[in-house]
Amino acid sequence: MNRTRSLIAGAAVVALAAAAAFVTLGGSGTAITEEAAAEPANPNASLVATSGQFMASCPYTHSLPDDPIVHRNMAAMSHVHDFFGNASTNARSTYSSLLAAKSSCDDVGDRSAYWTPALFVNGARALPERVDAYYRVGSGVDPKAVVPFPRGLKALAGEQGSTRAQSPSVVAWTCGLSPKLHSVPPSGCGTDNPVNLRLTFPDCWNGRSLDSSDHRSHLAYSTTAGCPSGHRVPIPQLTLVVHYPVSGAVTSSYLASGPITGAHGDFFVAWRQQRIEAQVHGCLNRSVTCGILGGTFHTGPGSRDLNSYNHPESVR
Amino acid sequence: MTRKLHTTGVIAVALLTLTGVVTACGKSEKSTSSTGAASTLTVGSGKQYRTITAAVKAAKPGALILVSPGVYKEAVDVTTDRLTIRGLDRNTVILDGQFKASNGIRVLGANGVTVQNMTARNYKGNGFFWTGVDGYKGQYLTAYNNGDYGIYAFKSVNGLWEDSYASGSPDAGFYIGGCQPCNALIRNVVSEYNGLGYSGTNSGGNLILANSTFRHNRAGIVPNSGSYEVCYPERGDIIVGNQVYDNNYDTGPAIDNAQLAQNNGILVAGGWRNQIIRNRVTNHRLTGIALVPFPETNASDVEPETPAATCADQEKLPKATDVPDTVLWSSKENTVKDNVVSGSDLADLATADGDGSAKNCFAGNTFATTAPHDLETLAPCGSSGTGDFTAGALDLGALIARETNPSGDYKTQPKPPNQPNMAGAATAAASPAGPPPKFDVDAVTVPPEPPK
Repeated sequence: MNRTRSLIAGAAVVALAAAAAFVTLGGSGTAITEEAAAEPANPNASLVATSGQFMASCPYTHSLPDDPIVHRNMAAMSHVHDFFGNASTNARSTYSSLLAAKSSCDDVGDRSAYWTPALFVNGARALPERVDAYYRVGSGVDPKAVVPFPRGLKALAGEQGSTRAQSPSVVAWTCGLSPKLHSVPPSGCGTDNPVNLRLTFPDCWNGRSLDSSDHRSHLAYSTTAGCPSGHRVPIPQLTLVVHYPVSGAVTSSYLASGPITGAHGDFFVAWRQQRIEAQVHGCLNRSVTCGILGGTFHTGPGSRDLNSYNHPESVR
Repeated sequence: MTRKLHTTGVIAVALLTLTGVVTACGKSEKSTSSTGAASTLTVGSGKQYRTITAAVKAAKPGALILVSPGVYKEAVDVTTDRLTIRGLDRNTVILDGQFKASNGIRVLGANGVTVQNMTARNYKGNGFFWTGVDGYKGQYLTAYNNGDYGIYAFKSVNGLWEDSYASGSPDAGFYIGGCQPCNALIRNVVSEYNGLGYSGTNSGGNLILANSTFRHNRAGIVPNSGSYEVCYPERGDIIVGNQVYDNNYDTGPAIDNAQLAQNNGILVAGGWRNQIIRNRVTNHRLTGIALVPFPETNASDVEPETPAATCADQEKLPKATDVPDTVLWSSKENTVKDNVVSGSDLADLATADGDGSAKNCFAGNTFATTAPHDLETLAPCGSSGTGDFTAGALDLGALIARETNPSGDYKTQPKPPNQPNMAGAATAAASPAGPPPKFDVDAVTVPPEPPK
């Protein structure tokens, strides 16, 4: 449904462009010989594949027993977290303090803080290398309706206290970008496709609050029917891929927060406003692929368009 | 008075109306209205707009934006159809990302946008980038020392790039990917000191790469397939009349695919039904022209038996439920004909096909060595071959396993010499992009020997 709508809209845009082209050519009296001699622009918009995405790639910055969402202003109250992106993140971080600080992200407009609990594999600490933050449009959401995050939004993905496998739509472990999803770090990943944690954040906002007492209820996941009542505002859907240099046998794994089944991640939005507006309007609203994983932090073959991967739809 | 000059008069009047500033470029001429004529906006010190971004935001579809010499430290996003953005001097109108910004000019789903006669350097991503568009054109562009690609089109159709130059990118100098049919023409470009001179993943279909020079890259021309992007497999390129030499820049910037592909002139790494004809390919430490499979780990899908006709159709197909750990993307039904290949240390012509089942064909080439031996007898075009594919076969495993130098720093690659300017940049009319011009492939001849 989402796809059909965007294709129809795309066709309309092309038809309008073609009509406008005739006006210009007819009125100017100038010969644009090359185009005039060639066939008219192809009216079939479906030739252009549509799927919006932008991304930021953010190396690991530091670790602290802090959590500016769950234990705000209470330093050392948390289990140990690994932080990415913003280099200053600690228990006292605010939207303003984050915006004023440096970031490790390749997109200089992204000062956001991303963090996950420390991971232990085979009894030893596994320090992550980076996160790749893919921003896309949730299933069932009209791409043109997506708006930038409210400034300073706080979001969680995954349940820290979960003692059972969580929905792979929200929490999944993989070997690199392999399409096989696991509920724990898989054993036997190759060195060229080591362990990743893939976390998908909610993409519907209640339009009022940047946080809530449980740090969750101000946000919800879209369904194939779009954003649910009470959370009508579609925002970009963040899929955070955490890269660990872990390959080979995994005999045991746990998190600083407890059992491995309680994998989760936190996202404190601090994009420079002009940049996030450009990315949401230019890439998601227009359904184009703006960013793929390129040379800067490149480790896998070629570039990556997460939309070319199967990913669980209908997140609930 | 020619039509062009007349148009200039109209533009000058429009400028006067807008700004009250007398411009140097036109005599005053009575005009009641500029209705129908594309408007012109000027950028630079003392011009209507100080930044290209501001002019692009103000411009209406079809407008011409003329940029005066200067270093523009911006990242320009274009979302308006059919703009023509043109520098008045290719070598001194410079977009500079300062290794902070991502893209010099990024065209986001805006159809028919043309960029001409300027330079983009020092971007972390790409110099010039079109994505999700129908109609794009780049002429007299220079892109150097950008962190991904120099000049780049993704999920876009109906393109033309010509008379342009790209160097110092770890991925490709020129790249067209994720389209089928692409309906695109690249001609008269120079690509050097990149990881790959040309790369095109999952593209093809009236995609012509002609009369261009690819030299001193890690590898020259490398179309390939993979499920990590849409529209697989790559198929149906025409690679004709190119000058491909000395792609042995082993210490240059490189993504891992460029390391894998290095020391080859034209390497099809997973691709179908490409025509590689009348190119001159000279001095490569491995092969001149080779057709090999591309091994993809973490693949999200397998190679289709029959690909969908268009990219959009392919996107709708369900993916394989069981994908092996490594998917091999095959190179098959390619035609390698009438090329002149010399100075390849491993083989001038090569295929990794072990038994002829890939139905690639080789005919009319000038060469000294092949792998396997007697390739034009084993796999001729238009008739069935004879012989032993295992004699002198290409050892692909050894090539994949070889050690290569890590990526050099894209930020410190050589600054290109000044490049030729577009004629009449100040006076030529707006030129929005549509389908590329018809190109006579049959008229293309083998280029002369490269300079020593």
